[in-house]
Amino acid sequence: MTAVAAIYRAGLRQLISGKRVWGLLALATLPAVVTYLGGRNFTASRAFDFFHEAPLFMTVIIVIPVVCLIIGSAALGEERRGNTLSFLVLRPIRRVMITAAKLAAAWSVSFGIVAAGWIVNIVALAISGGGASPLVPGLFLIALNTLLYCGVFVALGYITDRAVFIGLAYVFVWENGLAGFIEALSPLSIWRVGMSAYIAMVDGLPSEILDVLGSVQPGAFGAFAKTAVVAALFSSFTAGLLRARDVT
Amino acid sequence: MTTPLTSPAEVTDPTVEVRDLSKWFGQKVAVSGISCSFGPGITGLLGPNGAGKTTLLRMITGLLTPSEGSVAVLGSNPRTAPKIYRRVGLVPEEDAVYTYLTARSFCEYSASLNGVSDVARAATDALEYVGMMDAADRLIGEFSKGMRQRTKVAAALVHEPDILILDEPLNGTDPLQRAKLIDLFRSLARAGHTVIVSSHVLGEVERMTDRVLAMVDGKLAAAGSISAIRGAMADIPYRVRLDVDSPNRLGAALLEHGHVRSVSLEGDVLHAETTDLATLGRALPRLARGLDVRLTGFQPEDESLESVFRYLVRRR
Repeated sequence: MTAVAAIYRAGLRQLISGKRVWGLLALATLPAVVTYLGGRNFTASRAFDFFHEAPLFMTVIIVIPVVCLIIGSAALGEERRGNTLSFLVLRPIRRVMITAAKLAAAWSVSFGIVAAGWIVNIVALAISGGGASPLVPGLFLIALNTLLYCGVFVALGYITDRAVFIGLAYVFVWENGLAGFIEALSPLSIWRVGMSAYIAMVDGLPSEILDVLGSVQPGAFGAFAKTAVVAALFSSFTAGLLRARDVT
Repeated sequence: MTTPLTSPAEVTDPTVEVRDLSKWFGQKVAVSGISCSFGPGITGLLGPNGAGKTTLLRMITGLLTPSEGSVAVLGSNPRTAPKIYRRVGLVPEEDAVYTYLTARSFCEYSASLNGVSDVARAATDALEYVGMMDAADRLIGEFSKGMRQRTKVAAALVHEPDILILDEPLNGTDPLQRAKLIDLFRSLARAGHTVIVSSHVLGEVERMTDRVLAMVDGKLAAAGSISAIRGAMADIPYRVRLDVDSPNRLGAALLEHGHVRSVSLEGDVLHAETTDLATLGRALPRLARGLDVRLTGFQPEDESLESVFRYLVRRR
């Protein structure tokens, strides 16, 4: 357990260091600017609806995937590119413990960044009169979606140097393109998992928001269970890659 | 996996055994059919750059999967038995360090990963051991190459491994640091540890150990004591360039010299092939004086380690 905690701590330090965190924090607070500027002349109920038309989707469709892509792909990708992977893998610990600790570190940093932006966003909503009821459901959504995306992007960062490019293509072509247009594919979209929990937890949402889920049913527990399973699967998958692939 | 001792590449009490090991990357063969073993004490893995030393060490540590053959470290396959890493330390050739950590936190991290109970104490001991206590709390990113090397050695020693694998550990170190590290490796060997050190510098290896495995082009070129390898090198033909005002006369005289195998002319330059460079060097001035020719240059053309090893491989 000490080894896993050590990898987690070192992973946090690795991912927090550098300027990227500041850039991602700026990106994460962008929806708050939209909430404030767009909602300041609305009534309370209109401000609430507006929040669910633009700023929420900015967070879910752009901020969370991009933050997780940059942070998640760096978690093992930087170890590989920096030749430090051998330092990690030549240890008397199971590879899945390494990938789980790396995933936990990437998730913590990603969640921290997006959650900070979300809190500012909710403050902007409250200032506009839209209330603060989306705060906790939103944090839950962020927790689930950052974990899912990090699971995918930690593996991707280990596999390829082009993780950011491929990840962006995945997010915008698959998640926001095909999985949106073809209803049968919507359960395979990551952001709809957290969104299904959010919709189940927030009262008074505009009815059109249900359309974005496609064939996915709203439900917090189902989303949580799906996230846990997918994160565990990806952790094991990445560990399998670590075992099978040469460390060059 | 213990096998009868059949060649100088084997030891009687192996901790690491390599059998018919090969590794290729696409069309390129990096290691070809190597069998050898390592035991307590220092073994030098000698060979020019690109000889396959790093690939062999990476297969021994389990970082690379062999294309053919097998590796056993303490009786286990390192790729399937990570528990053996509690008893193995690696100093890789490349800068495998976290530049944003201090030397102390890097060693503490290494100790934590190996399940050491008193991490702080182990890191301090290891840093003291390599003479890095003065810089223990500085960021590795600020270190010179030599300091990084010593930090890597400290991180590899922090859990007191039985087997220490060092890939070109003296690269970038100054003569004083080099001497200290060599003393350190020798003291570990005296204490019964298995130390495998790769280097492309014969002199470095010679100062550490008498047991050497020489590699070139992915193959074992020679194995055994340095003196035995030097003996094997004794009949290597050296090519020598001679600048002389009358190459034909000197060439003819050289052919009658017992240590010259052949001579050739390229323009005004005379080339001779000899198996005894030193004797030829001593005899040449006298020979030139006797023939009344003016000798202005005597230059061995092909005495690199690589060419020596290539010769040994061809001869095997």
